[in-house]
Amino acid sequence: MKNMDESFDAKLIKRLRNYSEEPRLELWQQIAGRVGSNRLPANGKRLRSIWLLILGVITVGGLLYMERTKSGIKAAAGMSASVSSLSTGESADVSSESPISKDHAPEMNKVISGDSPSVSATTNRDDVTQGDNEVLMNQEPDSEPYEELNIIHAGDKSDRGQVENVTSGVNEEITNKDNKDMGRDEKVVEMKAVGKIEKKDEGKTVIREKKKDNKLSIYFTIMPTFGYQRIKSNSSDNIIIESVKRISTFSTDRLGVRAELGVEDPLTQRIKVFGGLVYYQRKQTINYTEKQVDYTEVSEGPDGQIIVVPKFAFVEKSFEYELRNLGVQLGLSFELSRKKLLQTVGTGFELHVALNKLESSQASEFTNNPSAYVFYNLYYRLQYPAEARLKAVFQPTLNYSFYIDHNLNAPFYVKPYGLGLNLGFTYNF
Amino acid sequence: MPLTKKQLALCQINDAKAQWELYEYFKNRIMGLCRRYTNNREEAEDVFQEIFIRVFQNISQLNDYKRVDQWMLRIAVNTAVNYYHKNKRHQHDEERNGYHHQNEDYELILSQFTDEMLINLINELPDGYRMVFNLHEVEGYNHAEIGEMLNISEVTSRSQLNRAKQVLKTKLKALGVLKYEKYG
Repeated sequence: MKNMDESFDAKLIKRLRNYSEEPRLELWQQIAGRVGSNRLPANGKRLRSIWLLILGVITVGGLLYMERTKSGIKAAAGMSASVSSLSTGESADVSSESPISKDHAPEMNKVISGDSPSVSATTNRDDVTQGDNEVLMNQEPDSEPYEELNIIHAGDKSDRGQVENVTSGVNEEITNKDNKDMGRDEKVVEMKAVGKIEKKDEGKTVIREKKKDNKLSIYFTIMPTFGYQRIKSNSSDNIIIESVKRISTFSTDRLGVRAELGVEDPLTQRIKVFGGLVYYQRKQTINYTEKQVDYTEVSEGPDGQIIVVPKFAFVEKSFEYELRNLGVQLGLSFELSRKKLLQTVGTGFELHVALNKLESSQASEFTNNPSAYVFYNLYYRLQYPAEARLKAVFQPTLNYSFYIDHNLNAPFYVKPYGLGLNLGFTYNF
Repeated sequence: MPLTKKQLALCQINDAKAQWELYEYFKNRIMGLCRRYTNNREEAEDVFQEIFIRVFQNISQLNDYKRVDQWMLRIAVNTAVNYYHKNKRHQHDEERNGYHHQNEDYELILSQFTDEMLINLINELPDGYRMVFNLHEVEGYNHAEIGEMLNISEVTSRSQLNRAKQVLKTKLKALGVLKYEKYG
């Protein structure tokens, strides 16, 4: 009998295993419609997003650079005009007399004549005041960056030496020493973009570069983070979550780490745009009790109906939710105050690609298989000390995940927003 | 003709033709599997669509093209199990008062049935029984694995399998008798 049953079972199973059926043709159309045949695959989409973000960063950076370069040229052009007006003050109109000056005008080389062996001037000047050794024009102490024009008597070595004593950062330098056609005392015009101007002994002008805030800086940040993901039980899976154990606020079960390497560029004195790479690892262990039907008691009611009473059992379970991502970020920060503490608020987007891929043997499970994330972040950052390169950081961050390409194999969802508390250091190179 | 590595690589970059070829290659088997795991054709079609959507969305994870059959099968079974969890009906053991048949020639009865009739029999099993029966008998999972997949204990899995077999035989017998009476 047993052998007979086994034979029957084997035949039945074989027929079931080999059972196949032709699906309706419309099913393919529906599948193709939902999959989107022309759509890029997940990896392609991810790559394209990364490239778009990188291109975005490069474009923004390039525009900022061009904007800055353009303003530099404008300043230099303004200076050129000043030189012309200055030259007409004491000599004949150089531009009309000298073909060289015309020819070299695009190169911003000007040759002018005058009595002063050395002349210094600033841009944005309305009036010209000529002293024995220097000319300072309507200098505004707070305006920056300053631009200085040094006019040096070509034949006077000592004056050149004086000029060389000027300690300034030079953005542009224009000299013309070949103006022999002029037939008079020649002066070489040097234009210098400089910072602070100080008077030194004997009326000599010393220019010190004022530290500029508007330059690119590279930063590196490393911060342990505590994750506070919100968890919501899945109400459609027929699994009853009896309770979720509370994890203490600073438990290691919440601990992760975040490292950033990037550049920041000031748009204004207070607003900076930043972008770069992010390594992000966040973990949260969820311990919960699941209520399961252990067995059912079936009895017959007085009217012949069947009464089914489920008996429950409680099972302790644990689920570890971990992100280990590499990504790029782009954002803006606003400086609230800069005293002993540097306080900023910031916001930005991050595109992450998961590093913790499943083994190929598990790949077909397609659950717990995070692959790509887009985060929106809002943070408040306290840094100390405000002016040092190495700063301690305290940073609560709220993040919202626009897009999470994964499924958790768990009877609950991790809500797409979370709170992170970052404690660490930043270093500005 | 089996799928080539190139076809699968093209599927990974969402080539429509390659996707169609993969679909064509697997569609009948997958539909057969869907019919076994669900109550009716309508449900089977829902699962079938879900399987192929997941396949195309996750095919980039397929590293070893030689294992595409196993990979497809696992996705299909997982999707069917997920569907079962989502649509689990509160059915209980209404079939527990099984008949005892002795010396019945089930093989003979089985031989009288078409595949379609057989599938209909499987469809009529209570959801839990059908899942355990398919997973254990047809797919070859053990009771521990089934317990994990269906969130039931191993003991429950075993008892549901026994009951499923019993019910199946009972139904076969009853249908067989009817058949004989009608056509015999």
